[in-house]
Amino acid sequence: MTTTTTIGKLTASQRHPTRYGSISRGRRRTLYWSYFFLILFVIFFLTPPIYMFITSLKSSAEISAAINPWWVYHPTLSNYVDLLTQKTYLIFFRNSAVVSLCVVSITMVISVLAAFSLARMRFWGSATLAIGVFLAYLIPDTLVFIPLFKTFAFIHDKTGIELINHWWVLVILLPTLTVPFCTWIMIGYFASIPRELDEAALIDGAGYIQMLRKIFIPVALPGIIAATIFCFTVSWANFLYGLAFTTSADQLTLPVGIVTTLIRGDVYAWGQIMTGALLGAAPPLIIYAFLMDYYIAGLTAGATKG
Amino acid sequence: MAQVALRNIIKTFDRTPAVQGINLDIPDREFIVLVGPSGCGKSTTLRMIAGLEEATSGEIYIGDQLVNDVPPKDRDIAMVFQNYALYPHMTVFENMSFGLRLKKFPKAEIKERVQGAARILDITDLLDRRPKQLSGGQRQRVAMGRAIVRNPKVFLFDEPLSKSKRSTNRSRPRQSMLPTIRSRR
Repeated sequence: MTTTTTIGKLTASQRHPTRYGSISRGRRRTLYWSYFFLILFVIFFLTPPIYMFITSLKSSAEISAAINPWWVYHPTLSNYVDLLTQKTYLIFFRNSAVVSLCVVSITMVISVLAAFSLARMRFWGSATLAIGVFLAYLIPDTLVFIPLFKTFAFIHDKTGIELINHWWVLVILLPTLTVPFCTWIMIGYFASIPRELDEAALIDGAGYIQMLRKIFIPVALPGIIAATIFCFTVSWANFLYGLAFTTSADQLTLPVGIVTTLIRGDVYAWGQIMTGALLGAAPPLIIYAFLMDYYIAGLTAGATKG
Repeated sequence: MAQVALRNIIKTFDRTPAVQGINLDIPDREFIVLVGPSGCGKSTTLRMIAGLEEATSGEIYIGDQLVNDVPPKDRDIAMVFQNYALYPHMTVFENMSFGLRLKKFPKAEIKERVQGAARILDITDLLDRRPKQLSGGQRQRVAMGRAIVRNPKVFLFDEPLSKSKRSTNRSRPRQSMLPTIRSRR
């Protein structure tokens, strides 16, 4: 008798599977939606590079022909060969690489030191300075380049040093964009390191530089890498300063060089433009992929009791 | 080991009094515990002895030396923090030897001291691990080890047992702390 009732109860509950299935159903719905938006994003962000890639494999005649632009009928590598055997393109590439590497080095040295002192050394005006750093980041570069031009002219008048039309002037200019942002990121990272860690280091006998080198930099490495990636991307892709301050073909960086040399009048060498842009986008991508392995958040785990 | 003396120590944070006129003499080799409700200034007092906070007024002596203006690293003290404050990117060995390495001790002596402390605290097997691979009790012992290897004049412990479970309190750390420190005298 008891057995029958139990069985009866079981079947009753089986008739209402929603009671048990509701969590997984909710989860499934969430997953559907996340996939939906992820796919939307992927389409949105990957369409341009795919189109660039397709176009880079076409000849000029095929690009201008009125046929399906999403299909390559006669694939050719001529754009790649032309571009990579052109001396100017390689010079643009070299200029960009040197500028970016210098900017990254300068920025990281300045912003790590600045962020450390602003986050940890309490001194008069440090809070105001930290806000000042953030405000400096908010100033758009389009606003700054005209006063900069004036400043350069003034320097030229006073000292005779010509700052315009040299690629290395970008090494001085671009940190004005990267230093405030990187400092701001690093202040946040350093502030998140438990204060007891530096106090322990202080008692252990470390000075400020040792504390920075042996405790802060290793612990905040994910933040430093994030800032480095940002800094490289900004300086590699910067168009405005390059366009405004350099003119000769041998002084141009990649983004400016592609636009100024591959567009002649109203003739657009689309195949080569796409190829150049695609090749130019490769280094940040490679660096990003390489550094992602080291970009491990939560390195502070285990420092404290939790 | 050395005696510690506090004379009329006052500490205020933006006009909020934290410590109001402490006079205290701790003889050499004495084990003393500060007890009181939270916010009564226990940690602040310890931090002033360590040199992490500056006393608003009063005098702090370690041994016979007035240390008010001596930076923490020159006071020859060791402190175990409430939350241990282990360096997360270093192994247990590196954590314990950090202070000695900064002071440029010879490698052989560093190794000897660390292994000696590790034996006392029973963490010899853990020397190659990083803090996140340790349990709470093990982390606490590493933090104590870091203090012990330096053989300081004064040991300061800021509630090192506050967050560990009752069971662990009763077992290893609480029982071993006192003899461990006594053994270093």
